[in-house]
Amino acid sequence: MEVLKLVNICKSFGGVSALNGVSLSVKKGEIYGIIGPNGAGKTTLFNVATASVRPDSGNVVVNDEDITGLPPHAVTKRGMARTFQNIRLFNRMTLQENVMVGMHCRTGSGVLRSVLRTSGQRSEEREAKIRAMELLDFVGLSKYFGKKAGILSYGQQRKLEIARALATSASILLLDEPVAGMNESETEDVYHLLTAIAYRGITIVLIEHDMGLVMNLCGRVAVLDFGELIAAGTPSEIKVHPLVIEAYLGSERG
Amino acid sequence: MLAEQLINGLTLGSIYALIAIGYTLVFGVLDIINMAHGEIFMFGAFAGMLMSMKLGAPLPVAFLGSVALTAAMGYVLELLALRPLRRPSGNMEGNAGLSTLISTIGVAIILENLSLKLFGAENQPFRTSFGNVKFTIGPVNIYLIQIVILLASGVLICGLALWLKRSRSGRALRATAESPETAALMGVDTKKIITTAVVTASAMAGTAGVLVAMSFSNVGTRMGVSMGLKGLAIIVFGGMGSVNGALVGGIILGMAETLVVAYGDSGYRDAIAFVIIIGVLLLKPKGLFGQNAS
Repeated sequence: MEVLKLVNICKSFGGVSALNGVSLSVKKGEIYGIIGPNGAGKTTLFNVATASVRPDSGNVVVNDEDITGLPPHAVTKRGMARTFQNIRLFNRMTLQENVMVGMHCRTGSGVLRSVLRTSGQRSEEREAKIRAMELLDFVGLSKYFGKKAGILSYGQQRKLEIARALATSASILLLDEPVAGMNESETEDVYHLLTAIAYRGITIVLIEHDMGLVMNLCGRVAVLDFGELIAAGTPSEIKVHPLVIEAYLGSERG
Repeated sequence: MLAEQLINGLTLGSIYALIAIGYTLVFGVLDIINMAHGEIFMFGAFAGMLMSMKLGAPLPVAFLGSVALTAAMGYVLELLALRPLRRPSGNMEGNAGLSTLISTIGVAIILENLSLKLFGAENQPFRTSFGNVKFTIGPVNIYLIQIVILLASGVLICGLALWLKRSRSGRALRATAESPETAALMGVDTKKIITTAVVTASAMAGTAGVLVAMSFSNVGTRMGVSMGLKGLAIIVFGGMGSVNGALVGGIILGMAETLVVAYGDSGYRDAIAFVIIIGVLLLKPKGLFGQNAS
């Protein structure tokens, strides 16, 4: 079953075409990789998918529902969450609070109920805290739960972003370069973390430059170059695809 | 009598804090100063006075009526003057900073002139049944209205702090203040949160308006501008976007003004207060609780 379909997405910024008719579909439970040289349009594709950027044309379909044009928070509510290439945590909030913000659309107490401190609101708050601790534990950060997110190391911040995205109860996770700037052992950690997330039945789409990670982890890979999808298939197919080799290494005819 | 002066200072300071926290809430989520904040405060004062004096409403009713009116004004401000200038959802990159600021200045001018038309330029008396009720504890006189102000602002400020710290919507507001875009992607309906912040800030201004009107026993259309400027000075002094800064800054300014009047020359009231502010800003340019840009 296809949980995420991008249909013929086009987006240009002031005459520069960032995405030109990109279509791809992701099946439930798979780990799908998106690779391509810098500036190929990978992050723009994520921005379009999560409604941060509205496409000029084309559609985003999540679980058979066309979500094109919905506001970002509504997209999150439909089960898709993301992390960012340039980490965007709430640095003035604690780790636990960061994760709890991720739960916002799954919990229900409005302003009035919080002011009145109803028993429902209090027990919801307790449950949210417990669930936040479970998620922090899952990514291995629970011992820092009360610290401000800003004090974490780079690698830890990336893991916190993953925990926060999971907190939205997403069934589809979009990860933008989850191991960028990490050393080998941290990358190894993230590899196991992602495997564990996929094991829970969560679909993962990831943008990554670390080819080792992509080739080991992903069932299928799409390759973007200059805003166009030039190839898609299994890692072994992609490795030998002539257009991919040309995009990465340059053409002999040059 | 020092104890009395300290109580006076604390009372004035808590009013300043209420106003300044309103500015801070809006600044937090929108990154702009709401220049219409002082005028909304003034409308709150007039609404309370008119409902009580002209319509004969009991004070608590007049009080709640004026809070409701200013909350509604906040909603209309957000709906007509702020929201249309923010970029539509779907492209949340940045916000329309300067144009929303100018828009609030426009609203301030409209409200100021509307108030002259509706209420007239003269100061009007606001007599309440307990305006002169006071308690004497030993050598210290405390007016009932001071107790009401301290209680009301104390409850409001503590409630607000708890709400921001401990609740789902308060957390969403802090997340929106740090990054509206990221908050939206985490499932926060930022439009709703921004509206909540503007409405809450306006209702706090209205509350402060009624309290000030009761404590000074009169209201005038110029009180909006002067209180608005004080509030602005306080948030710069306390540190932009910091609720603690607004609270501490407000109380320091209230104390300083009161003590200058009591033990110095009342003509220097504002001068000394602002010298203190300038002094602090020279040492800490980001204000008492200022956060460095992250």
